[in-house]
Parts: sequence; structure tokens; C-alpha cells
Amino acid sequence: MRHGEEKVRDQIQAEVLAVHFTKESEDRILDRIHGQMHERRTIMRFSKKKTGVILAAAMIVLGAATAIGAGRIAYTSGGTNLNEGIHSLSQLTGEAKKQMGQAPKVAEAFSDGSAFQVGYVTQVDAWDENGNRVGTFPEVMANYSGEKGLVLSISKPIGGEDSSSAHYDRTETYEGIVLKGKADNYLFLPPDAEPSEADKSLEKAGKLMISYGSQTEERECFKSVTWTEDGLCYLLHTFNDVDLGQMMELAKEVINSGK
Amino acid sequence: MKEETIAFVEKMIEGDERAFDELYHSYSGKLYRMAYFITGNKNDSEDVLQETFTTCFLHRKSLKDPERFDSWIYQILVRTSWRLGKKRKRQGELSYEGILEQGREDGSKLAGRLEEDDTQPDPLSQVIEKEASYEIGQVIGQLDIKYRTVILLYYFNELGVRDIAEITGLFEGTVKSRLSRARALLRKALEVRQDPEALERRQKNHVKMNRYREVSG
Repeated sequence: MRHGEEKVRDQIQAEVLAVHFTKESEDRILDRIHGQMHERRTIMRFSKKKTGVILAAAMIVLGAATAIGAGRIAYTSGGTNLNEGIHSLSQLTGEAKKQMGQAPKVAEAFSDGSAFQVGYVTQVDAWDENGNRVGTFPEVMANYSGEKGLVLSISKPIGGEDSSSAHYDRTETYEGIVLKGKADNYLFLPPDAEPSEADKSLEKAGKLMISYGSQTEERECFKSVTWTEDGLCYLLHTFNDVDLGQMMELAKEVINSGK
Repeated sequence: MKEETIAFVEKMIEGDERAFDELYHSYSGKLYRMAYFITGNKNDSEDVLQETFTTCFLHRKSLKDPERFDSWIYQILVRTSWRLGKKRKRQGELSYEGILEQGREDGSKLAGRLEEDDTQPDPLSQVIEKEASYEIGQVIGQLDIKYRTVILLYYFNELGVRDIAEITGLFEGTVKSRLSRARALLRKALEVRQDPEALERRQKNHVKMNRYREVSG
């Protein structure tokens, strides 16, 4: 009996050990793992707080809106310690100037009553499609009080200005600056969750973006307006119920805030 | 488990990516081969390995005892493989499951007759004596993913029933039953291989499996 068991064991062990695993495969998969780790960690890091999910998604969308045009950057990721928020607007712009080399426009308040609440200055990693980090750039985020839940993100991407031909739901030129508005539906899922067939179809059709890493399933509509001014890329966004027309008007207020 | 490995696991839990890389280089070969044994093809094995280590790092805080790292990562690997197997099945790809449907049914009957008797020659060992070792792998490749997993953990990783139960999330009784059935299926399959009348049917199965491997591997 034991003899037979040993035979089976020896032959199965030989069978498994005969599988070839090259150093090239080992390294390639590790690169992919690092890319995936950073991508998912960004979302997971914020998933305990609603605002965090918004920030994380903002960074990913910002990457899609600004850096892909450069051709070699597939996505971006970054992280913020929510305990390291800057509550003074002048301090935030000062820190931003130090890291970006120029001061961004950050509105102190909007006409609807939304007011600057807290800001962050972070470093965002850019990754190519093979999961290799191709660079890092600074990003400023400002959160606003009020029911609109506005967040303004400003970055100086390493890929330069957006040259992509992405579809926008609304475009408008103001003071010679092109404002581009878009509404994207997001589905946030826990890491092991499997999307439904209907959601997969929507994703395939480009009507839904599925992200993994949240603790529970969440569906959000991400409204955003982007524009480029003085080499900086601006993104004003919210997950709340605000239409794109209103977002366009609020974006103009940011442009006017520097005057 | 080596002290050096435990130290890397502890650092990895703290978020040290260099320690994570060290663990990856130490374990990736073994885990890739395990994944290959379970999934049966190269692409799926790479996906399983990638997902296993990504999950390992992102959920590292859930590993409370660094000395239990092996079981913990095997658990992630097995469940990732099974999830992928389900996905493949849903996608309508050719599954190992069902290829030996008849053999499984017969094996089920045989399994009930398997007895642990150290005084008698094991029928399985008698059959194995007559087979070349490479053929064992071909037979195993035709078994259902559930059976291949149990065989792998028992014979390759040399784990006990309790550990296999923990890794697979199954009851110990279920593990014993699957192990018993797996051995019976293996024996049955090997017996079929020695039956000249079954040769044509077996060859067709092999062609089917090889074509699947060519496409997916």
C-alpha cells in the first residue's frame, strides 16, 4: 500500500516539476503584478470613505483624460493620506507652486455657495500598458463643501497636453479655453466580485467603467469638465446630482478666479 | 518554514515591496507549476499567478500568522484557479469536467469499494507499475479541476486532509471523499488505458484535449 502511494506521489511530483517556468515569464508577470498592485491599491486605500473613492476615481480618470494622449501612458495612480489635508487655500497653492513650479488656479468659493474645505498635494505615478512605471507628476486636489460635492484636481502631466480624441458629451470654448464635459457611469466592486453579464455588456459598449477594490458594490455617475490652461490640466468633477451645464458654468468660475 | 522567509513575510505585511519581491521570486516557480497542474494551460496559469500575488499583497494584513504564509497563499491560488475555471465554464470553453464523465460515474462506484488495507497490494499501485510515468500526467489532466486540486495538494504539497480542507474551504469529509474518488478515477482511467477496446475512445479524448491545450496554452 505504502509503496503504491509513494509511486503515485513520486510520479505526480515529477509531473508538476516538469512544467517549465522561464525567468523571462517570472519577471514579466512580476511587472504586471506591480502595475495591478498600484492600480488597485489606489482605490482600496480610499474605499473606507466615500470621498476617498471619489478621489481615487478622479485620479484614474484624470490619467485617462490627460496622459493617454502621450501614447505611452496607459493609466495613472496615486495615493493621499486623508490625515494630511491642507485647510488653508494659500498654503495649498504655495505647496502646489513649490512642487509644480507654478501656482494653479484654485477657486476659494463658487457662486452656488460651495467653498474650499480641504486640499491635498500628491505625486501621481504613470504606468505603461505593461505595468512599468514611466514617471511621476504632481497633482493638487481641492475639496469643496456643499451638496454638489465638487472636487477640483490640477496636474502637470508628464505626457504634456491632452491630444486624445476621446468623446465628450459637451464642449464649449470660454476665453479661448476649450472646456470638455463628460458623464461616465462607474461600477465599483470588491476585488473578488464578478460583474453581471449586463454590466459586462455595458462595459464592452463603453457605457460603464468597472473598477475593483471597494468594500461593497457601488454605482456612481462621474460628471467632469476638463480644460488646459498655462500647461496645467484642470479637472472639476463630482459624483453628485449636478448636470453638465452647471459643471461648465462652475468651471468658468475657476478660470475667472485667477483674474 | 525558513526563518529568512518568515522575516520576508513579516516585512511584506508591513508593506515592504522589496520583501514582497523576494517572496515572489522564492514562490513563483512552485505556484506557477501548481496553477498549471490545476488549470492545465499556460495563459491561465500566468493569470492565476498574477492574481494570487496581487491579492497576497493587497490583502496582506489579513495574514495574522506569518508562519502560515504557505497555506494562506495556497488558499488564494486554489480559489483563484477555481474562480477562473468557473469563468471558463461560463464562457463555454471546453472544460475538463465531463470528458471523463463515464469514468467519473464508474469511479464513484469504485470509490465506495476502496479500502485502506495495508496488508493487501494496492490495486492502484499494480496498475501504475504498468504505466510509464508521463502517462500519469495525461490521465490527471483529464480529471475534473476539483479532483486535480486535491491530488495536487495531497501528493505534491504533501499536505494532510485538515490542511487541504482549510485551503480549499471544504469540510474534511469532503476532502477525504474527493481524494478517495480521485484515486478511484485515476485507477479507472489507467485501467481503461490498458483496455484495447477503449483505445479508440481514449485517443479521441486525447486529440480533443491536445487541441484544447494548443488553443488555450
